[in-house]
Amino acid sequence: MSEKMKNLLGDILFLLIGVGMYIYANTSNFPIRSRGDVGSAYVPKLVCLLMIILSLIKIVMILANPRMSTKKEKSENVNYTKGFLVILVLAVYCFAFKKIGFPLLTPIMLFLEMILMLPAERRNKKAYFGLAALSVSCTAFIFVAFYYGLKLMLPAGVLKNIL
Amino acid sequence: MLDGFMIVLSSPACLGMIVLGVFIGIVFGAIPGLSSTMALVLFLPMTFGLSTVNGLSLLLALYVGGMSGGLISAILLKIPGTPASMTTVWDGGPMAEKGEAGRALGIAMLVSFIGTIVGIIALIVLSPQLAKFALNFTCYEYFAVSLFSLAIIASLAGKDLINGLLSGLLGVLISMIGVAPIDAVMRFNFGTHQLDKGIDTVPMLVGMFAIADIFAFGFKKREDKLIPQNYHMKGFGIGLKELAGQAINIIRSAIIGVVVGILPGIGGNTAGIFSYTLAKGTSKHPEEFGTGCVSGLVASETSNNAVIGGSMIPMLVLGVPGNTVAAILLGGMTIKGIAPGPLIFTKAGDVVYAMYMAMIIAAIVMIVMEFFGIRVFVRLLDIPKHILFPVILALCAVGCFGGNSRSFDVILMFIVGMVAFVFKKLSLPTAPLIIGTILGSMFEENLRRVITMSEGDLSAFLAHPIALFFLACSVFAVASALRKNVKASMAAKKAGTTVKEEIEEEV
Repeated sequence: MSEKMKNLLGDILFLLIGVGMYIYANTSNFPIRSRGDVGSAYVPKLVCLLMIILSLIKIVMILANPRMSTKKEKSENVNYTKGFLVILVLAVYCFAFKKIGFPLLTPIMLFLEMILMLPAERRNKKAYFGLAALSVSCTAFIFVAFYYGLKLMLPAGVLKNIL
Repeated sequence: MLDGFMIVLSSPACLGMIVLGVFIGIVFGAIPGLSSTMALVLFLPMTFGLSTVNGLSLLLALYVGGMSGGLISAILLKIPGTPASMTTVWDGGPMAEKGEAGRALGIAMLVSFIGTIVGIIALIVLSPQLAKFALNFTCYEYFAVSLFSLAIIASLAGKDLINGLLSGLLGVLISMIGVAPIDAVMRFNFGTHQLDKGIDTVPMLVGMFAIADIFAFGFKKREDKLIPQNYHMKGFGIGLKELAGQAINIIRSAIIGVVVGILPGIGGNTAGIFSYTLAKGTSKHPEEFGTGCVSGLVASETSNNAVIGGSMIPMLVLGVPGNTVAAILLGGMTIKGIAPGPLIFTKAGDVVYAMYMAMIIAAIVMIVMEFFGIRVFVRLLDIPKHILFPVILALCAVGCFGGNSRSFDVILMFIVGMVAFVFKKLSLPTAPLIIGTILGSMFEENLRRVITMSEGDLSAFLAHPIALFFLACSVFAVASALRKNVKASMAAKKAGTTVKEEIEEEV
């Protein structure tokens, strides 16, 4: 992605958020509950207006700047597949955290993330077994320390009746 | 006074509580996703069975340890362990990358100790007088202070003033999710009750600083080789001459920390930003800040630890907590039957002085524990990232869940992490976003009160010179950042290069 495109995308994002939230604040009909008060829609709308004005100024500046680079920036040390899988594993972990539970889901997440982040040249059966054992023991340590030690509740999930 | 001091000094149980509290506080402060606030919330029920002084000493030791512990992950992992150590990342992290992790840790913990002690001295000496002054602040002053803080975003955004302001405004907008101040109108919860209380600070910070960086690491083909750490240091990695050279920075940062701590609602992270920005602005070599500059590290850690003593002043004398940790301490005192207020020194003077002594001992224990444990802490960097980062992810999820026992906060952590990652990819600054989120509610509430009280007449500010002063500083901050941008742009036009290339040449 070129520098110009990056800057444009960022400011368009701010513009869309500003416009969207302004419309939301305007249509939500927040009541004014005390005399003399400006109401709870006033400051959000003010902030959104400022965002819209500033992002429009920035977009015009970018489009009017002939010197801004349109060359695509090369990134060599990037593995998109690995990166998206790391995000996907964490996404599943976070969304299923309560349903499946910490004790069952965490070692799976740890194992998968460790495998994904392990350098390719170090991947072998011995490493996999080692990481599997580490995932289980880390989970056990965290669970004992926080659940029994600090009395911090963690979701048991499917193991609710066992733990 | 002496009776109060002796209660702590003559009790092995109390001293034991302090040592335990400092150790656990450092651990909670060091681990991203956990915080001294969480440590105090967790241990508050445990103080029910302890005596008044022992229980309060434990809570105070957790506070001291937690505030200092954040420097460890800020320097070693470039992830702030606590919100207050956000600015420590900016120079502590680069120092560690250059192989000076031990030196950075040594300097940071020494100035942490100094900042903590200065804060405690201020608490002991100034509490009655400073509390009276803080009471005089009205909505005009609070609005002006929050606007000034938001205006500092302009100088923090670096080369792009407008993107910095946009990021800060987005942060302010995010802070408006949930119940509105003054009239308690429910706003922007998008139909889900999970957002009724707004977005919690812990998932916000964890997502912004930990998750985004781990995602960035996940996209790398090759794991970066670690630069060998420098373990060979004499004392704290800083000589007397160099420390003397930092004296003005230390004194100024400590004063900022104390003052910011006194002002209710503003926390250690704001103190760090104020003192860091001032140190950079008054430095002969501002370009060194952010590259591993000792002055930046000193400013950050001195001020955020000086906040400890400052935040206790309004809490003890007025019953108004200076920050969330002080609010938990207030709860602990109330449980024990100690009523904060102007009469506390006559009704429970021995307890108050016992608390002072507990804090002093906690500071000493903190520096000893961190000094002798430095080699252990530095070794944390030797743990391979493909093992460290997944474990951090698990701890972050536990930390986010533990605050409110809600899985929604874990999901929020992920969403904020994605947003921060997108920001990084689009080269948008994230620090102003965080600042806007933290200060947004103060800004809004006081702006509304100002408008209501003045009936829209801005000349009402003329009757509030302190507010006028901060408003003038806000204008100055934006104007000077704008001037810097314009100057750089004009210089680039002359040289026939782009602004980005111009700034890269300067660096």
